[in-house]
Amino acid sequence: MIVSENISKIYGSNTVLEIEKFEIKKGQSIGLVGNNGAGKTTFFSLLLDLIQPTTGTIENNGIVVSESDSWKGFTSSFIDESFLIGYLTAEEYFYFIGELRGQNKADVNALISQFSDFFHDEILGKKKYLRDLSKGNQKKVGIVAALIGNPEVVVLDEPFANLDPTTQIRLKEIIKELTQNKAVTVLVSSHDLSHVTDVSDRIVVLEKGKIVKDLETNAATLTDLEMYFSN
Amino acid sequence: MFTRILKLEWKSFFRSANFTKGIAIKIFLAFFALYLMVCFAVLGAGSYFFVAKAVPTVDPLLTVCRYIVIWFLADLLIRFFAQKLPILNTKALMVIPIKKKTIVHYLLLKSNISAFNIIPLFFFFPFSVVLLVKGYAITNVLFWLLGMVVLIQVNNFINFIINKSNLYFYVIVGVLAAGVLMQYFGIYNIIFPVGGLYFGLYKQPFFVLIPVGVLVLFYGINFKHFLQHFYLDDGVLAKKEKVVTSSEFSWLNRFGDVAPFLKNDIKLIWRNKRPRMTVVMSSLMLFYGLIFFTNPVYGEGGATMYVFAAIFITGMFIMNFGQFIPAWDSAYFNLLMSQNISMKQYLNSKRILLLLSVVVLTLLSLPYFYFGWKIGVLLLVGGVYNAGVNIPALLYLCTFNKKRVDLAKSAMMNYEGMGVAQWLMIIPMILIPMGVFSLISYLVSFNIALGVLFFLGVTGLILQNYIFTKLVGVFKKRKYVMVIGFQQK
Repeated sequence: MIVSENISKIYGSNTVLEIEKFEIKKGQSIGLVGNNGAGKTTFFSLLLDLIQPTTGTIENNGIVVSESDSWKGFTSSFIDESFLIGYLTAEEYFYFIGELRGQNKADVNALISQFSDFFHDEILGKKKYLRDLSKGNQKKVGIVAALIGNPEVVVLDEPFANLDPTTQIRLKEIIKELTQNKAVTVLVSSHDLSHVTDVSDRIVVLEKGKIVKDLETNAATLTDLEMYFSN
Repeated sequence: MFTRILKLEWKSFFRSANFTKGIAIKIFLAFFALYLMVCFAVLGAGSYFFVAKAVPTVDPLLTVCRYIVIWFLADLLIRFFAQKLPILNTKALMVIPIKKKTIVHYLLLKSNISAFNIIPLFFFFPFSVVLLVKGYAITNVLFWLLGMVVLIQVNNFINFIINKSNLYFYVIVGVLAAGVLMQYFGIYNIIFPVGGLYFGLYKQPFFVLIPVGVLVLFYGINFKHFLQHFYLDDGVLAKKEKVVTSSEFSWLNRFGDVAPFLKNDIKLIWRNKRPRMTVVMSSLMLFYGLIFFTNPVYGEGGATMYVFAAIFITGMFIMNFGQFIPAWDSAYFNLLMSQNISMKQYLNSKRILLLLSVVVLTLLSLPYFYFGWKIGVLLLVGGVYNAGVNIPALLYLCTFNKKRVDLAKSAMMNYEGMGVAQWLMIIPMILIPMGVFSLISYLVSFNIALGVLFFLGVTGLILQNYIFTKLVGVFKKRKYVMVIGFQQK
């Protein structure tokens, strides 16, 4: 589904990302882990064509992302608060995203009604602008909005950060449901090793812009990762 | 303790990310302040003589005193809009051992160092000097001056009290309007008794204790208020949350795939301070024509200034709002760039918004036909020129925008988001049509010149799809620069 060839990003003399070949199959759920500055967000930004690579290309379903806009129809993402429109209410925001993704109000309502427990009564019908919600609640809105319109690729940067424990657990279920049928490719980055191993069937460890580990998730993965990061 | 806070502020000023940027804007602002100071100084030095000539039977100081009440009320109105209590990084200071009282005193005293308090002095000082030269008693003049300075401070502190509610704004406007109307229709001459009060400050120097007392009172009220509300969830620091009414704007659905953006842009304008003020100002500019078209001076020399007015009136929204496309969306630009929309759709929505504004403003300016068919036709041609030439020109210049715009800030004296593009815009948008028009109407005739502008506008409209496709290409190339620029606060 996603193929990146020879991708690198260099700022001045500082190489922040350098990956020779990285391939993600359709329906895989990938967990990207690494310390701060490892290049996780840079990779996502390249994948979403928000920054230009110094070398190489990324293809999303056969489309080179920097050459055409057509990958946007089946790709959705939530990276940070710059993906939220502060002066809309949660509902308005969902409907807006819905309109962009060819979903009418009823479709959107049907989707978000599944997440009422995730929202925990703090988001829908509150008559509040998104900019007035807490960081955690903003994040919930962003994550759910990324699920609107049956995307085939979902990109979530640090989705577990800032969420309360109940919501973290519920989010794990949501991601698992999403990848159950192997139809949706999910890319998640996280600093929380246990959560990310829970939801991913493949873990990629980045360090200083390079892939240093690429593991199929199994029972031993979490201990492996903990070993790696404690050194 | 004061010096320590001062040091912190010093650092925050010189180390702020914006410090080195926007030097041009700072220079411009400095010149503007200088200009105001000179204006006030000239006014201060000249008003004695002017008033003495205009009202020869009355002591000029008394006449000035009579009108000074209007000055103070107007001053309060301007402050209401533009002056805010300086906020320092209070949150960090709250938890470290500095007395709350010290911080509040500091905040209040800092508010004194503001252009609003300094610039008026440039009026009162020269005026007092003239008084002394004219042989007014020195002690009395000095105490009168002191009284005025104190009253400026009083306004400063009144403003922070009334700033919390719009109600006071309407009260001041009401008082001002009522006073002016009563004065105008000769019902009650309000400025005479009030003027007497100000004059009393000159007559009896110890009356200065009254404004000083008022100042102490208002300082005290402010101090008490801020001290009591010095909590994160309270007073100045609290985030204001409004209950929102959702709106549909379904009538915009007829615009097809750009409808979601148009709806969003309307919400953007309606719900955010800066764009809202921008739009209000644009619509007030509709009355600009009343100044131009009623003054025969501007009609001479082939009506070049009329062209300026026509382009200005019908294109005010394009210039005021359009200049910051796409920076209005800077806070969520990444979303728009990664969502299921093409750059073409996105820009098209902006173009349609601008076109709509030209149509609406042109329609609203139709009453100007009252001043003659020439002016009416000029406005229509101005609208066509705006639609055909200025919109694409503006959108092209918008590709240079890469500075973030904070929607929540006031539009008054706000130079955030300003760059080279904003200055360059004047050339194609106003200077070129004026130049073309005056040249042709000088060489050939008024009608032909009008025809040429119309022709240019129509050509632009015919070619708009071609031009637009080119523009989309330029925007695509600039997108990455914008993504980075809009993230920087």
